Amino acid sequence: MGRTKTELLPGTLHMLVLKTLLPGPNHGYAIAKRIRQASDDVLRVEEGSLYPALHRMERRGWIDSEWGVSESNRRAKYYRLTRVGRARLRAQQAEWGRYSGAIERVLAERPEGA
Amino acid sequence: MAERIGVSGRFQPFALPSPRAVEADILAELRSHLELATSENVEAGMDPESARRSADERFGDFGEVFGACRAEKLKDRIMLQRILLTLVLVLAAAVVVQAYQLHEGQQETGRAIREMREDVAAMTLRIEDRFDAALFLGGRGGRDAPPTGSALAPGSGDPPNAGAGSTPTPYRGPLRERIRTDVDDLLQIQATLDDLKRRQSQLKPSHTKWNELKREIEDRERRLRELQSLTLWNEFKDEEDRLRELPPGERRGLQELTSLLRDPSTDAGKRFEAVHSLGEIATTWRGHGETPLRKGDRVLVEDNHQPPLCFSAVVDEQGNLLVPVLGFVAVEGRTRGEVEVLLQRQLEAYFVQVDLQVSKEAWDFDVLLEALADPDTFVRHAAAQILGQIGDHRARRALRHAAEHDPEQAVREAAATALGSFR
Repeated sequence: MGRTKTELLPGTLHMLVLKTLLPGPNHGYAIAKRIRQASDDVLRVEEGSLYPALHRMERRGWIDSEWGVSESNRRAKYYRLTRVGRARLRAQQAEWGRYSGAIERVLAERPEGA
Repeated sequence: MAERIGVSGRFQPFALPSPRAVEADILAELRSHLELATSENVEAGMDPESARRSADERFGDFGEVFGACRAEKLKDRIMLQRILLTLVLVLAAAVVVQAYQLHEGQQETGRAIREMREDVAAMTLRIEDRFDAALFLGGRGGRDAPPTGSALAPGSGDPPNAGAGSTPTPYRGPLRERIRTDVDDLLQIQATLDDLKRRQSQLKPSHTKWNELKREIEDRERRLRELQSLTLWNEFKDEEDRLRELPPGERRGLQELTSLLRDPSTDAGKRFEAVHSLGEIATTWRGHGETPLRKGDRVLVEDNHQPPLCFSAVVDEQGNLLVPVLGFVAVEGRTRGEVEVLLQRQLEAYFVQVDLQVSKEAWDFDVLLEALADPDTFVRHAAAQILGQIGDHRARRALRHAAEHDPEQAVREAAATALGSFR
C-alpha cells in the first residue's frame, strides 16, 4: 500500500455516491468498493459511515432503496437514483467543477516576475 | 431486487414503519455488508476469521454506525411524533379549559336559574296576594283619601275627599293597569326562564343577560313593595266591620225574633209566630228576589269562574255596596236582578269571563234551620214551610233530614213538599 489514503472532503460523499449509482442500482458494499477502485484506492470511504449518508440521501428523496440479491447470491439492499437525485448530482457536479477549477486556477497561477 | 419493504426515504406521515421494523432493517443491511466483505476476503484467500476481522475493521464502529443510521431513519418519525404530541397536548388543554368553563358556566346558570325561580315564586305569591287585595282596594278611593306619598294617588285635579258616596274611584284605571303590568311581567320572566333553561343545555349563556334579568326582577319586586304599601288591607277590613255593625231599623226586629226562637223559655206559640215573622222577612229578602234593596241588606255575590268575585257585603248607609275592583256601587232601590245586571256589565270590563249570581242573604239564616229541630211540632212544621218558600238551597240538607226522620207525619210531609219546591 504505497499510496496515501485521502479522507473525503466534507460534502463530497453525497456527490460520489450519486455518481456511483448513475449507471444503475447498487448495494452499500459495492458503492464503497467502487469509490475506492475508481479513485485508485486514494479516496477511502470508511464503510460504516457510508450508511448514515445513504439513509440521509434516501430521506431527502435523492435515492430509493429496495432489498434484492447480490451477485454472490446474498441478500443486500440496493439503492437507486431518483429523478431528484439525478438533478442533485448535476447541480453538485457543476458546483464541484467551479470549485475545483477555481482552486486549480489559483494553484496554476505563476508568481509575478517568475 | 424482489422484496420490497416499506422503508422508503420518502416522507410518508401516514405510512411510517415502526421503530422496531426500522432497526431490524438497518441491522439486516449492515450485517449484509459485513457478510459481503467477509466473503470477498475469503475469496481473496484469507481464513474466515481473519476475513471477518478485516471486514469489521474496515467497517468501523458497528454500534456507532447503527445509532447514526437509526437516528437518520427515525428523524421524520420523531419530528412527526413531536408535532402530534404538541397538537394532542394543545387539544387536551383546550378541552380541559372548555370543560372547566362549561362546568363553571353550568353551575352559574343553575345557580342563576335557582335564584330566579325563587324570586319568581316569591313574586307569584306576592302578586297573587296583591291581586286579591288590590281588587278590593280598587274601591277605596271613593270613600277615603288615599295614603299620602302613594304612587297611585289621584291626579292633582282630584281632591282627596271628592269621591264620597258612589263617585267612581279615581284609582281603578291605574291600579288595574299596574296589576296587569305586573302579571305580564311575571309571565314574561317565566318565559325567559324557560328560554334560558333551553339555552343552558346548548350554550354557555351570557352572564350579562342573567344580571339583566336579576335587575328586572329586583325592579319588579320594588314596584310590588310599592304596591303593597298602598293596599292597606287591614284598613279595609276595619271598614267592613264598621259597616256590618250599622243597625238598620228592621235588624233589631230580626235580632229579637232570633233570640226569641233560640230562648228555650219562650213558649211554643211565640216561637211559632217568630218563625212566621222570620219567614215573611226572609221571603221579601230573597223575595223571589225582586224587591228593591235597602240599607243594611246583605248581598251575596258568587261567580264560579272568578274566585275574587265571590263575596258578601252589606248595603251601607249611603245605599252603596262595596264591590271588589269597582269600589262603591249605588244599589239602594235597585232589585237583586238589576244589581246583578249592573255588576255583571261593569265587571266585564276587567274580567274575561264573568258569570255573576247576586242574591240577598237571609239574616242569620241558621235560626230557621235550627227551628226544624224545635221540640214543638207546629214550630217545626212552620219552619219547613217557610224554608220551602224562601227556596234557599242551603236548607236542602236539613229539610231532607226532617223529611226522613221527623217523628211527625205532618212535618215530614211539609219538609218533603219544601224540598219538592226546589226542583
